[in-house]
Amino acid sequence: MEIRHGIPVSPGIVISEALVLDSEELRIPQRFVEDQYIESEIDRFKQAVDDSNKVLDLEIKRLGEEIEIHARILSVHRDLASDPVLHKEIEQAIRENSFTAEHALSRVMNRYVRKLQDLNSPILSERIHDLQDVEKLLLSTLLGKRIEGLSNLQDEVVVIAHNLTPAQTAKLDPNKVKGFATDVGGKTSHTAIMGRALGIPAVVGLDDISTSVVGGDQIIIDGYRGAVIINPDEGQIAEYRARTLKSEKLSRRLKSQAKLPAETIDGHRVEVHANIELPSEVESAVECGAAGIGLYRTEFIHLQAPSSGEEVHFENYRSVLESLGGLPLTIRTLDLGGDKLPEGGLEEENPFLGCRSIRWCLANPGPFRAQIRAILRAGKLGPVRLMLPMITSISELDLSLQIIDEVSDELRREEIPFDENIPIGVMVEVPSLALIASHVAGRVSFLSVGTNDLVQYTLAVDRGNEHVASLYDPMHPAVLYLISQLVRTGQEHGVRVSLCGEMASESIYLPLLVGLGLREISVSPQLIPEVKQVIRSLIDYEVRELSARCLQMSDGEQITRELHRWAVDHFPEVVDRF
Amino acid sequence: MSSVSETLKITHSSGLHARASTEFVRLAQRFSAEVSVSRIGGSTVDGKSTIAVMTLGAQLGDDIMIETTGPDAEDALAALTELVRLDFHGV
Repeated sequence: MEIRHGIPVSPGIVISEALVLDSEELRIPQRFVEDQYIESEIDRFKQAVDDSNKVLDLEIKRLGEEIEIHARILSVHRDLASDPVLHKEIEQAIRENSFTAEHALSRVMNRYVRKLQDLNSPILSERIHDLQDVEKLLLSTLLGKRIEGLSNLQDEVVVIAHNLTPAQTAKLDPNKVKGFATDVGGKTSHTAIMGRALGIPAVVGLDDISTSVVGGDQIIIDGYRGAVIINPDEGQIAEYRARTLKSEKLSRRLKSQAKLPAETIDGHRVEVHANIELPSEVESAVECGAAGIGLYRTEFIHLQAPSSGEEVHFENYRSVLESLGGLPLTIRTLDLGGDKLPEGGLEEENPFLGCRSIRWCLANPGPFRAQIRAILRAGKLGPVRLMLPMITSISELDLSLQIIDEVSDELRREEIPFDENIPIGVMVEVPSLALIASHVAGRVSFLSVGTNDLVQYTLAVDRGNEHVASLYDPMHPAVLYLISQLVRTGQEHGVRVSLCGEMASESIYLPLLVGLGLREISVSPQLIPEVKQVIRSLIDYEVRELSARCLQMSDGEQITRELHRWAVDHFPEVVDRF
Repeated sequence: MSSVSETLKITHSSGLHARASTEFVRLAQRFSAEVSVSRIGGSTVDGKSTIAVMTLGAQLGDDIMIETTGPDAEDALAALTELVRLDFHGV
C-alpha cells in the first residue's frame, strides 16, 4: 500500500486496475494465476526467456558483422535476460504471490529500475534503458498475440502515464477508462480537460507515478483530494466505497434539481452552459441541465484526422445540434498549439507564445476556411455562435472577420444555405485584448473570458509546468481586475460577456463571479447541477458586496480565504464534498 | 567446500558500473565456484548476476570483498581480483 499526493484536476473517486501507458503501449491483462497453474506459469516464463534469447542470438550474429556496437548492446541485453538473480526473484514472485509471469516480470524489473535510479549515476542511466528494453522484449514474447489494443480494452482501467497527449487519449476507449493519474501536468492540462470531459477522476503532478505503478495494480484515484493509493488495503477500500456512496447521493439530489433555472434568491438569472469536446458529451450536458453549449472545443476533430475537411466538421456540428434540440451552441474555431500541438507540427521553443490558435489558423487558412464554412452552414440547422480564440489585437480580429466575410461570399455564390447573421464573438484570453475591450465590443456580438489562458498570460505561469503550478492563481487581483473591467465594458456597450474557463468550475469562486455581474458561465457537464445549486443559494446584493470587498484586497490568497469562508457559511454541503 | 576471499579497492574511474559489471560477471560465470561480492559498508550480492553487481553501487574508492566457494575457488578469485586491479581492462 502506498499513498501519493498530486493536484486534483477532475472530481470523483474510482477504484480500478491500472493500465500503465508507455511508448510500446503494452498492457498486462492479468495479474494472478490460480495455484494449480503456478508451475506451468514458471515454465512459460522460462520458455519466454529461451525464445527471447534465440531472437537476440540471431540479431547479434547478424549485426556482429556489420555494426559491432549494436551487437554489444544486444549482448548486454542477453546477459540481463539470462540473469540468474532476476530469474530467481521472478520465479519466487510467481510461486509466492501467484503472480502471472508478466506481472512478476514487470514488478521485479521495476524494482531494479528504481534501484538504479536511486544510485543517481549518469553512467547507469543507459542501463535503465537496457533493462526496460529487456522487459519489453520478454513481455511481448510472453504476451504474444495477447497484446491488448488500447482502443479495444476488455476491462475497466485507470490510465497511468507520464503525460497524456491528445494523440494517446484519442486512441483510448472512453467506455473502459475510469480515471487518469499522471507524473506531470496542471489544472488545465490536456489530462485535466479530458478527465472532466469524460466525467472521470483525474490527478496530475504525481512526480513518478508512472514508474511506481505496475500494470494490473489496484488503484484508488481520489479526484477530490488529489490522492492516489497504490494497492490499497481493505480498510481503505471500505472507506472509499463509503465516500463514493455519500458523494453519489449528493450528486443524485443535485441532479434531480438540475433542470431548475439557476436563479439567485432575489431573482437574477444566470445561464449555465456546458463545455464539451466530443459530440457524445451533449446528451449528458442536456441531462445535467445545460442551457446550451458555451464552448465546443473542435481540436479533436482536427487531431483525429488532420486532413478532415469541411464535411467532417459539419457532420460533428450537425450531430451536436441534433442532440441539443434547439439549445444554443457556441463553436470555438481551432485552438491548436500550446499543449495541443498537432503531431508533426511546428517545434517551437516557447509554444505558448508561438504560432498557436488563431495565429496558426491565419497562417494555415485552408483548414480554417473549411471550418468556417462548416460553422456557417451549421448555423442553418440551429442557433450557432462562432467564437474566435486567442485574439490579441484589432488587426487580428479584423483579418479573421474578413475571412469570415469572404467565406460567406463564397457560400452565397455557390448557393449553399448558411446563417447570414451568425453571432460572432471572441475569447478574451490575453490581457492585451481585455485592456482594449471597448474597441473590440463594437465589432463583435459577445465576449467570452477564457480564464485558463488569461491567468497564464497575466501571471506568466506555464499552467502545465508542475514547478510553477503553485503560482497559477486564478484569484490574483490582476486577473480579477481584468474580468471586472471586461464585465463593465460589456454592460456599457450592450455586449454579452460570458466566462468559459476552469475558474467557474470551483464552487467557491462562483459567488465572486456572479457578484462581478457575470450572467453566463460555462463548465464541464457533470459540474452543472452543483453550479446551479450554488447559484440558487446566492443573493445578488450580498455577492455584489462580497466581490467589491475582494476587489479591494491585494493578495490572491487572502481573496481565496475569504471566498472559502463564505462558501462554508453559505453552501457547506458542496464544499464538504472535497 | 573451500572458500577464499580478498578485499580490494575500486580504482576504475566509473566504479563497478555498467560495462565493468558485465565484464566481471562474464568472467565469474566461467568458473563453477560460487562468487559473491560485497561492498564494505553495503550489501552482499551474487557475483554471477549483472543486475545484482550493477545495483551494488560500488564506486571509485570503495572497498569491495570478493568471496569464492567451490572446487576452482582459488582460480576464480585470482582471475577476478586481477580484473578489478587492471581496472576491468579499461572498459
